Amino acid sequence: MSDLLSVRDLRVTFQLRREGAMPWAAPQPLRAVNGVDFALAPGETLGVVGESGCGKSTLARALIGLVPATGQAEWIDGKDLLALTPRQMLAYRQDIQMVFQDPLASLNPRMTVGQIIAEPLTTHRPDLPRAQVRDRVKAMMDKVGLLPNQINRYPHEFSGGQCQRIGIARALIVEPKLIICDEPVSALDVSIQAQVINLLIRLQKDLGLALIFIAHDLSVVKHISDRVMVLYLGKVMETGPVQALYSNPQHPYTQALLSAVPVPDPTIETAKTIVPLAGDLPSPMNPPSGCVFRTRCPRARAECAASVPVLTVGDHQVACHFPGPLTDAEIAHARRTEAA
Amino acid sequence: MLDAVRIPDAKGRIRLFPHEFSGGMRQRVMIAMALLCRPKLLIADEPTTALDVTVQAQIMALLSDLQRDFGMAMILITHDLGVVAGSCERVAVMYGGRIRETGPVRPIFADPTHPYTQGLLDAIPRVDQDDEELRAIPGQPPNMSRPPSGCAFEPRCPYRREGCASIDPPLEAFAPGRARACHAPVAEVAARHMRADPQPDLVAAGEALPHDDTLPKGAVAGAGAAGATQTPGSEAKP
Repeated sequence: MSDLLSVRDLRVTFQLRREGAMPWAAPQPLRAVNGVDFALAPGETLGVVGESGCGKSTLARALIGLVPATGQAEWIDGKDLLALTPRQMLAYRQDIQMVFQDPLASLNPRMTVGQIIAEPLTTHRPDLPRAQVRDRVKAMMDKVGLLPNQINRYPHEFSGGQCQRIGIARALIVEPKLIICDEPVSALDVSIQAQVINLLIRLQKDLGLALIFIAHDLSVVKHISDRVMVLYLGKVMETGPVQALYSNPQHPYTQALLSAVPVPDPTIETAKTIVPLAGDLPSPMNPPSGCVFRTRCPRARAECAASVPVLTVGDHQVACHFPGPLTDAEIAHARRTEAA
Repeated sequence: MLDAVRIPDAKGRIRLFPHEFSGGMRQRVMIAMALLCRPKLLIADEPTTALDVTVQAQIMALLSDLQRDFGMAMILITHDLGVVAGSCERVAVMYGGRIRETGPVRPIFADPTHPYTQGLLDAIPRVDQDDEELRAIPGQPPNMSRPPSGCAFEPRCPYRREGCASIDPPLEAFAPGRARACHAPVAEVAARHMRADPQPDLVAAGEALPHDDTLPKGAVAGAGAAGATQTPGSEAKP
């Protein structure tokens, strides 16, 4: 197996007490991630997209062991990351680092930038002399576009974009093989967002990193990813190479998502047809039977409620009983039902 | 009014509390509140920024319909140029507290004449095109508690010249309905845009001053847009 990480049937279930229920009532399961499979090659970027509440962040947190999960996550050396004890996991945490969404909140305000970036290094390599740690921190700051003479400053002295660079430097200092980025640019202005994306792409090329890039912005994901996975209510709807998925989406949900992305070109934007999705995301406490998307799907039929569609095999996979591009008639029908 | 903003079963929901609604539904309630007094002007400050794309599309379609039905003008404040392209007639691009370029939406997106507008349009990845590298605007937005003496965009501008650092250019009309605030001539900026030379993404990245208080988003990198219902040939989405 040459995949860096191969995940099979990953599930994360939270036990929640129902609102208004009696204190002795049995807690209800909330399946945040419900059977996700994917494989990631070394140096590859996997984009994960979906609406809020679809389980993107939980997936990331499960992979680095921040929330308990079941299933299998096989690392390149054949070890199952989910079966490791916390002590065994420590060795692998050096290879898997994470960049968080809120740049300022993910940095300790009472530590200097130098201490923040050095922290993973002192955790994983306690034997390293202090002078050497400092040199490596400075080299890393230079690499991510921070001035090394700012090493003694505190996070509040930096702007959002620079804080995100600090977060990236902290993730890179232990030379990981995989970085999980959870919405790394959604808190940043567009001009700064482009700087951070370019930085990530450049570092990935230079260091041969694999990235799991979680975002709700489909244009950003398209720009950075090799392959994309579309999640809905904790399940994979469609996954495939970025070109195939964006130019020829098969699942009605992917088509609806893509049609809703605003394009900064007035001629295209005013002429395009949006596939409307009726209503809101169903509650993950009580997901629909069969295909979880059927309640909002313009193509839902009786079979969709009866059985769960399985992900097809191959390069471009889709979990739908009736895949294929939506016809004009189906879009028109969806518009009528949404207006009603 | 709750019916007008398309909240299903409005009668039954009138007694619910905000936390019982989803994000999109809450934004609909806000719009209903704003419209109760039949305003002539609706100011929408980042109405869809916190929402998912599918919900964003619903809200923008709703706002366009309501604007038509109520015959009101709308000022839409947003950082999302795609939203501007879809639902506005005129746009004003702001930077450092001043309008830098303004005009009808189509010509501004087709040939932006201010370096900042160009930079913004080049910096966003697009879902409908294959772009190789994003051309980021180097540096940071200005610190407005100590505003720069000249043009606020000067430190990040690829066209900067003598005088830019000392004299803030006034907003001057250069074509019918269009105006810009820049010392570089229109022709030069337009020609450079065609050549599309890449800018290094890290230049001046660390040069920003410490204690750089970040401003409210709208003031720093906001693209404001004004749309008037009376304008003939409304470009609002149906």
